[in-house]
Amino acid sequence: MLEIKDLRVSFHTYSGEVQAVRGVNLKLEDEDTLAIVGESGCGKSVTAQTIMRLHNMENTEIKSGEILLDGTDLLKISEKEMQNIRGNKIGMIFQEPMTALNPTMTVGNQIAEVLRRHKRGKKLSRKEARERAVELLQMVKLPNPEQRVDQFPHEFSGGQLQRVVIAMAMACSPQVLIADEPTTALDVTVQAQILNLMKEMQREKKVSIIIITHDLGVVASIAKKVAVMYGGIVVEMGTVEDIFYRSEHPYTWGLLDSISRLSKQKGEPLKSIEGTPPDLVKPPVGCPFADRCEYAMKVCKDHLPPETELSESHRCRCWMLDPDCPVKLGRRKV
Amino acid sequence: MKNEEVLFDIQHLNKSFKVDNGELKAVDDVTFQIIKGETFGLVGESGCGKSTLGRLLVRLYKPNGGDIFYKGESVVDLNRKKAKAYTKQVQMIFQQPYASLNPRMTIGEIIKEGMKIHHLGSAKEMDDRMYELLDMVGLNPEHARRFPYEFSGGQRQRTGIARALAVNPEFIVCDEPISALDVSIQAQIINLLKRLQTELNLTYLFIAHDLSMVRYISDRVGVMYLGSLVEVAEPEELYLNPLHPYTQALISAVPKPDPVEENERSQIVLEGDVPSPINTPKGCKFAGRCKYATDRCRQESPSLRKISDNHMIACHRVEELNHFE
Repeated sequence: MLEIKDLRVSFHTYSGEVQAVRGVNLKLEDEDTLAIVGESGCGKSVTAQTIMRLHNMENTEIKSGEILLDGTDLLKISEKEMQNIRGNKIGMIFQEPMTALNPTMTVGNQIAEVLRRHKRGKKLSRKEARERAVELLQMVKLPNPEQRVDQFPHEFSGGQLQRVVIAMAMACSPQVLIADEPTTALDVTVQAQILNLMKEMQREKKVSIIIITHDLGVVASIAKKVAVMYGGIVVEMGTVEDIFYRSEHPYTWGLLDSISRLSKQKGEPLKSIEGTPPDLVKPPVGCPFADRCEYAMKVCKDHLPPETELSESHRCRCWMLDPDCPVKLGRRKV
Repeated sequence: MKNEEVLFDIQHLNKSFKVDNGELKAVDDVTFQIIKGETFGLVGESGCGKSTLGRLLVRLYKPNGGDIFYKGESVVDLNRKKAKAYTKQVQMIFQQPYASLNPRMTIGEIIKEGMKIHHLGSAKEMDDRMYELLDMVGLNPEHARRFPYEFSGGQRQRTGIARALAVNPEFIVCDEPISALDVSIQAQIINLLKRLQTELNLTYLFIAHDLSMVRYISDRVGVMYLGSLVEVAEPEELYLNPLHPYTQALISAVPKPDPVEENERSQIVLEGDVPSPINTPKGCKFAGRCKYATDRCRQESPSLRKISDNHMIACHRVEELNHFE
């Protein structure tokens, strides 16, 4: 029901045009969980922010593409119509719960603001909004919601604030929840609590989730589908099993190898991907990973590999999958 | 361990900070040793005091109580001259590669600053040494004239490592050196740290909250909770056979990067958050969240004791609980 088609987004900066997203196609089905993984600067957050149209349009240019939510192109509707989509149809959770909330308002008032602003139909009274805020805090399992609703963000811990942010995002029962690194700023034990809460929200409220993360552990624990992004494009896309057990892209292999430290012997060095990601002011014409790829051929540097369909769910952009490619590697199990 | 020479002997170390509503005990009666040549990993959640402990060792903070012995000598009260000599032997690598380099100095100047302070040779010698260090950490000679803003996170962290190595230290506190970096870059930095350790015979205190990386790099691991060291063991022992209820919860909370294993993972989910370290109640600090806590745990704080050759734990009930299982 949410479909991104050939999305291209650029930012105009002093150093030139940064082509942050360079042709992304993604599809999110009902009640699905899609994880977008990749390193900083790969375009994963920009893609998510574009769905919500959160960019400063003064320096952002959406060069092409469509974002279809139940058939409506979110890039074509007016700002006013978009405001009815935000919150009501798509909710968002941010990376830093400490900075996502207003420090001068009680959390109850912040949740009430969402309800009063976005709730279609009858306008809620202040009292009703507060009651609803308490219910929402209860739903995200914050202890003593009756008291906590009147407290300010600084009186909460990071994990508690992320619960508040989730309550706000879920306040108007959206169909889609976008979570941009929701647990990166949290400790592991708190991360486990928040991931469990998100899974529960999905079961109970039937919400579809897009989660942006660089942590493959988080991906394995919550996602059903995975899109691996690199240099502004999706290099590989598939179910979580496709990516973890049958991946075909050398970058995905590199990501999996660099976290497989548990199976490593003490003295053995970790597998790392040498080099750094490409500069998207002058994006490479060929495969963006070619410079760091140990299997790179001449064709990789000159031409962007097309998408190869490996199965109904699994797609990958790599020249090694071309029928004419002399090298056949295939994923070895880590 | 290769040789059992104790480099650091930390005895009943305390550090508290005065805050508006009381006293924040960041490090509370911590006792342990660091052996020469080893990597001692320190894990725990934010606010558990692991960074404060690291900073105490390099004298960035002064302890309120307890003592730190480096090669048998106390380093808590040193005169200026001795303190300077000490800082040549212990160095630190910081968490934020973006904040820990002076933006107005070139990479070369940053690396040479420590050498200048300690008068390590002529200008020419320092330049030669600086280029040698750049090469050692995988940077190019032409990087010496660049400024930090021109560098990526990984390159900055390499600069931080070169700076720490410049004065030929024996011991380095690595305070979350990789947590601000991308996964593929993390492995590069870890491999570099490992290689340098073997080549230069360094001892590390490696502070991190990434449990799997600590397991990989450490010879022994200490787990901290609210200022106390609750368990110390070799990594395999600690990860496969954690004995402290907090360590058990902490290790079970790490998601496995494998969908099948992840589905089968049994989790001990702790309720609530880490309590505030300000005016902590007496007794075991974990008692409030521990499902095995008894009255004794709430009254009497357990001290770290040896239960087998390479396993130390601070828990009153460890023997009886592990008879259960």
